[in-house]
Amino acid sequence: MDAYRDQYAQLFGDTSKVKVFAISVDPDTMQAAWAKEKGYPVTFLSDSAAVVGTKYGSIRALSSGLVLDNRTLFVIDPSGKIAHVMAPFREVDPTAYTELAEAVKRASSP
Amino acid sequence: MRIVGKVFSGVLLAGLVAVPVGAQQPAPAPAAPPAPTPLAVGTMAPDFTLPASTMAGLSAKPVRLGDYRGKTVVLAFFFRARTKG
Repeated sequence: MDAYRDQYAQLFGDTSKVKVFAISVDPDTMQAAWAKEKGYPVTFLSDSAAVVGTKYGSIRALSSGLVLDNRTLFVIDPSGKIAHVMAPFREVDPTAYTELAEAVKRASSP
Repeated sequence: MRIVGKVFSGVLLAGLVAVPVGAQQPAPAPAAPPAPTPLAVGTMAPDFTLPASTMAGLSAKPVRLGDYRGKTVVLAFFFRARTKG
């Protein structure tokens, strides 16, 4: 999430044309506190029942019974179609951010 | 009679040996849950409505994905708040 904040303009370009949602099973209060503390410029979505993560194929169940999202990233084009998938999103790999920026640019091009 | 007794003893001994060996066989490992399959490129993104927040606090209105038609949307699923990535 730090990389999204630190490279926001390079990754997502024109903010009037691109919207970034970060989604997890955490309660919205926890996400809001984290966003405020770290100054994250993205909108957080609380999928506490894991319904959306399941629909998108990102949820995994642990043997403890806990469910968590994998780091899965979707770029959705302006028509609502999935244009790019990164599964898993390799958050420590700089080339993942290059790939993301290119995918966003491609999806946003008319 | 003596032969029958020897055969019987042999069968009994084999049984005693076979049971512990069988009991020591490791139980098969439980099958790992299948890895989730993310939606594929070209699929229409399923619509949803979820509670939202930003660094300014909780949003008054939930977010509906369909309201962002006309924009490029990045949907980044992550493990948990306060984890890296």
